[in-house]
Amino acid sequence: MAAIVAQALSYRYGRTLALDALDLTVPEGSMYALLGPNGSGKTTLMQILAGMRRASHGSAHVLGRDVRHLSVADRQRIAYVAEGQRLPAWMRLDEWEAYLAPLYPTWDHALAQSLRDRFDLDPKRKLGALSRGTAMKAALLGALAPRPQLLFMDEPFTGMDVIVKDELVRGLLDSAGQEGWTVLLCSHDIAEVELVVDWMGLLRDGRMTMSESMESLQSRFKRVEIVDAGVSVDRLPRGAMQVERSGARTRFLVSDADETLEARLRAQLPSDARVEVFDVSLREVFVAMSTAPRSGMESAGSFVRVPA
Amino acid sequence: MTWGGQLWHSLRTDLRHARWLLAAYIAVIAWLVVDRLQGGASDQITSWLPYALILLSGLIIITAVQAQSPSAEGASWRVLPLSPTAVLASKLALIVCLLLLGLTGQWLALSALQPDAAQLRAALAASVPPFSICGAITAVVASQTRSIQSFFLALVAIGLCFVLLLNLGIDPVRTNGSLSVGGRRFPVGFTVLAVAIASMAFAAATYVRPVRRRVLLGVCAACVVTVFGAEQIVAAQRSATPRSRVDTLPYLPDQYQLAATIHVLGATSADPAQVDVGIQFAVNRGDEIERILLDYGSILLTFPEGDTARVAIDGFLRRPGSAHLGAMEENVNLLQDPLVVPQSTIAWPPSDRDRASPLRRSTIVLRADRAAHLRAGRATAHVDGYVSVLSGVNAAELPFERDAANTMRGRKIALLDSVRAPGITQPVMHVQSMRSVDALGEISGFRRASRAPSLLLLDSAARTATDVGAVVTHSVNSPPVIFGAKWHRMHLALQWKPQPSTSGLPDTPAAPLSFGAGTRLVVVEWNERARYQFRTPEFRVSGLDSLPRVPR
Repeated sequence: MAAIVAQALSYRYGRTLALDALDLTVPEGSMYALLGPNGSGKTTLMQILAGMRRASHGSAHVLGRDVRHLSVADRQRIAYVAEGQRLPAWMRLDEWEAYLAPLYPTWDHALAQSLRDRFDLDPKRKLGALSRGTAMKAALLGALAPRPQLLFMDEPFTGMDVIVKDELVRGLLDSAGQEGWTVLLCSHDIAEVELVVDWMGLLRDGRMTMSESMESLQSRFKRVEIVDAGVSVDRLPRGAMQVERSGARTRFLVSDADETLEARLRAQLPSDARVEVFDVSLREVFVAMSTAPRSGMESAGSFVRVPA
Repeated sequence: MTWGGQLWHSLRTDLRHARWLLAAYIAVIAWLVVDRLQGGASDQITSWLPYALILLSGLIIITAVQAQSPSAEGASWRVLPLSPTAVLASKLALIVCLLLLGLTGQWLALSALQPDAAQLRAALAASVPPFSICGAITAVVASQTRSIQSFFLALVAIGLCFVLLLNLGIDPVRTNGSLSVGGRRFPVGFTVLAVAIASMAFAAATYVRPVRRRVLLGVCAACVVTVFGAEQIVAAQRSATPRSRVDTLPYLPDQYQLAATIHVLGATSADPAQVDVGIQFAVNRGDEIERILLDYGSILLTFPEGDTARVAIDGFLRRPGSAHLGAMEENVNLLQDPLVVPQSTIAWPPSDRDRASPLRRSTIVLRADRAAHLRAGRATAHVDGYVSVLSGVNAAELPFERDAANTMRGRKIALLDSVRAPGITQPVMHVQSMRSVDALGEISGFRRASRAPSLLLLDSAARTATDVGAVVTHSVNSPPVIFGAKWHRMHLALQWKPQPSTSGLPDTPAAPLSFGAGTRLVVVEWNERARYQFRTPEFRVSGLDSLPRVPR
């Protein structure tokens, strides 16, 4: 069952189309990373899904409910945390917790205490006096302590140091795994995201250009390295991206890899050529997909040997 | 959490958020109450406190509304499990809380004047609309702005828009009493009400549904402009009302024998071509203690060439007006207040001598430029208008002696001695009074001065009462605590009333007055008993052949 379903979702800021007939499905219990370059519409999408904005067109459902008609009970199962989120500056952290706790029947005081300790938060400090990173931790505490079924996180790692970020990621993994939370995460910190997520979607110019599980991505995307002492490769196989040439060495990314990839490549190359296939990181996939031409990431053809 | 629980949770948070402002708000109310209970001893300081109270209540509302702003795109309170209607209700509840605090203070402050239940009810009821409207406007503007600075900037912008609109579009309302939109005319009251309700409903709707900010800005501006403009429009409506009603009033009964004469008084201006024209109304008294007040008079002057000039002596006017004479315009200035027929010496009850006394006269001086015709008595006049008949009621009575005091029905009076000059003292009356603001009277200035209470010195032995003159030496008029009711504190130096002059001679100087044994001071309030219209047949203006010269 899907925790989030969006169909033909559009949002317009004046003349700018921020989201363009976007479709999205996030499976229940998944940790879904929403990636995309700046201005691609990630935050807008997340705010629409959280019921903070109204889409210009299309529909969106979270936890089976239309986001335009989320009830209080629905909201008790949803949490949202975002970079730059305005917390009540006049409240102390303990007051903030005391304000939120009665709103959620599932508020976990022990978890709140544990997060406070983990994030090293002073309960007597005013929220307005916190640094950006510490304010983010406080916001995360407020979002995680109710143990939500669906958690929206928009750039949650902003301003955090490496250790805290690592702790948070591990905490998220623990909680989400144990509780079966669905997390929709949007971050520029791809290295951290990669450790957590099991699904990924790529937004580009308001459109979802890719949405699939990390498992599928990792099996489909591979980095290929060909070393041929006597020749260079002039034309690349279909689907090659991020091509780099250095002397006799040619590197590229393919998005349609399967178990026969290496054999297929070898079949097209001279026998003295060396072919190696590597797994790729999420960062590499993101960069490749974000920079590929919109019309298609394929250049038709087969290997051709040319004089070195 | 139930809907009510969410409301309370949100309200409690807002109250905690604004606790220092709230403490200041309560402290100001307390200060005002104590001051009023002590008779306004520090009214020089406290007269501005009601304005501070408005500012504080505004800041509290702005703080609470902007903390959960419905217009902030992506406002994070929207993702909390709080019903938007509960949040909206909590903001309204906050305004109600502030109002209740203000009303409690009002009630405590006014209780010092021992008003009767009806007066107190009226004063408290009159305080609700201004506070609610101001609170609602503040909340609407605050809901569409993000900070206190932007709130005040928006207010300034709206004020400028209002000034523009007033100059461009609203002014015709003053004369027409209706708004014209696309060739269709809409009743002003309906339009104001409709736009105000629509604006507030729209602002309220933004809580329930996120709406784009720029869409709201226009609506918000329209709302506030409308409400700001309402006073002007209502004033226009009110001022238009008496004229339209005049024809439906019954004619003044014969017993009053009202007569009007117009005659040239002389030239008091540096301009020799200008003369002052006295319009004298004379009226007898009825059988009871009563006053006749000219509410509206229209004088049509007709000159030999056929030119006409209509001059309005309007109870609303407090400043010089102008009139058009045929194709050319001439200024005809109203120099005195509307006619009040005074009762210089009346009996209580009226004696036979007073019943038979001649008609009382009152003169209004106009300044007119048609010197030649007026001087020669060649103009004719026709006067019509309407009057109010007021009955006197004994509102308070106390011995006319030092330190006498009386508190009843919303008025507290104390008689004191004051040193007028070395070795000479003069009776002084300290008055604190209350009243609920009458929107009609307040807006137009109508009926204010002329319906002020009279003071009579009652001599039981002689069975006579004499009008006492009072000179205001100190006056503070401010709300008791919140606006809607008035707390008036005056010091009146008492003296014998000057005898009205006849034939333009100066009034007889006032005689000194002193406390006297056996006499009692009676405060007479004037209540309107009836209104009548009157019309005079056409008559010739009394001319003056040789006008006194005024040196340039």
